[in-house]
Amino acid sequence: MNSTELMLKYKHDTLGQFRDLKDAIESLDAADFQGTDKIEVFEAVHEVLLKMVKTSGATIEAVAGKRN
Amino acid sequence: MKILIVDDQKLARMNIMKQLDESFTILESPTFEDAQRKITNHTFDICYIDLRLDESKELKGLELLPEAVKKGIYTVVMTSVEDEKAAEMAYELGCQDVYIKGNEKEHIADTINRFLLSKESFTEDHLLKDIIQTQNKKYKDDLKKLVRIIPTDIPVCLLGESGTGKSYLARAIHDLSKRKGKFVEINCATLSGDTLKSELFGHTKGSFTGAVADKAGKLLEANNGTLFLDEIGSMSLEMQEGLLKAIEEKVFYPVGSNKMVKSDFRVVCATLDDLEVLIKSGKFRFDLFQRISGYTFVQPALRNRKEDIQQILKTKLSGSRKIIFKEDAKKILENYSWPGNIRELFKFAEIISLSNAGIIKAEDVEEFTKTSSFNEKKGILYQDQYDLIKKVGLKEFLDTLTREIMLKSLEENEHKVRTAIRELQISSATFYKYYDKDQAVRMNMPLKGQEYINELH
Repeated sequence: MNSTELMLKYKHDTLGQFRDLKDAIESLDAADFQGTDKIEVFEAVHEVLLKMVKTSGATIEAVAGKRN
Repeated sequence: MKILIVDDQKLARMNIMKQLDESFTILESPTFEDAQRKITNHTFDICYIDLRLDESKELKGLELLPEAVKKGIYTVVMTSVEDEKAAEMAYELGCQDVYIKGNEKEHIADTINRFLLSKESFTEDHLLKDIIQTQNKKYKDDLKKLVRIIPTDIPVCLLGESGTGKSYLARAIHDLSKRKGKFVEINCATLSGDTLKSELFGHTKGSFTGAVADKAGKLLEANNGTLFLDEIGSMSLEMQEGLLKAIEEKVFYPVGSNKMVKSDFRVVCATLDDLEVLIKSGKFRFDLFQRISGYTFVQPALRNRKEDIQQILKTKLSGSRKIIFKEDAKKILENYSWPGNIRELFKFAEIISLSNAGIIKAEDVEEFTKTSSFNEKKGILYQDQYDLIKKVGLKEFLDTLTREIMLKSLEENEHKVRTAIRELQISSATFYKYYDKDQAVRMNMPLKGQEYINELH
């Protein structure tokens, strides 16, 4: 993948993940914070957020590497 | 329906799951290795595969495709980016659908529909190409309707004359249904009373003389499979009652046991009896009829699908040396009533394949049709007679037949009218109603007989 393709993929993935995150977080309500039923939603959201940070860092490094 | 979702992101798996029906069995795989293990060890209907697994730069998901495709799983590849090359590779490896992630709601509904359609068309193709070949439009249409019932648990009642292939079709229904259990067959006409009860429900040791060990019955044997009850019309009312409970509740008690046994079986039954007549005469329970006839299918008699006779023969004889049928022989084959149906046609094929003749002539076929043991059981109406009735009408046919019978009787009784009348058990009035004097003269009726007739007049 060249840097343009990398950026396009980053954009597509990140937007997609934001949309998924938005849907998942919107599905929660105050009552969920008292029970344990929705704990897996929190875990899933957390997993995505961590991955996004990681992917974001890796993409910046990869793009920088290709420019150098 | 059993579905596997392969994606390393929990949220992505949850997004797919959210769109699936609660009745589906869904398994998740977060890693490539886990997915590989599950695909090898389990059976799935559909498998959703994310191409990039385990944060790998490689398209690891593609490596799962060959095994999944080999196992006949409907595979759907989900990719996060538009990558035509990856999609092409996935399709080349045999996956059915490729989707870009996002908008799961539409994608999942679409894949489920496409899966159901593919399954139906596969079943239809297999049934109509490999299992039953027919050119008869009505039969073909009926079989296409049956295809929709095959994957369900709806009980099927197969009707039709003896030899039309009801057992064969029952087995095909089981094989195509993908029910994991066995196809268990029992002929209700060959067993009766306690023997049938023990065969169906099983028994415990010592429950009756000769019960030397516990025995599982056919109902348990058919767990997760199909129970085929052949000639169900012959079953006694007492047995019908027991069977009804077992079908309704999917539980039963083996003979001599008070321990309830569970079994999840699909019922397919067959009969050549008219169950409605048996119900009216009190010989068959209406509630059992309702239970077993979720879908009723009539296997047509061979004489009603004459267009298939040549093809069936060709298929049956395909392994043997080349045999040619003369045109007039073909005509007789088509006009013969085939009272024994496919079974009789197979017997005919067996006879000619064992004979030395390479060319089958009209007289070869006639010899078979005249001597066929299948003719014995049936009524007195032959197909050619029936065809004639359709042409000239029943009255004309009966009048002609009566006249012919009277002449035959006269011939055999030295043209003694009284003897003929006595032999045929008819009145003089009936005799003269049909008697054709001119024809009798043409047949060289001896003068003595002729005089006698004149006397009677």
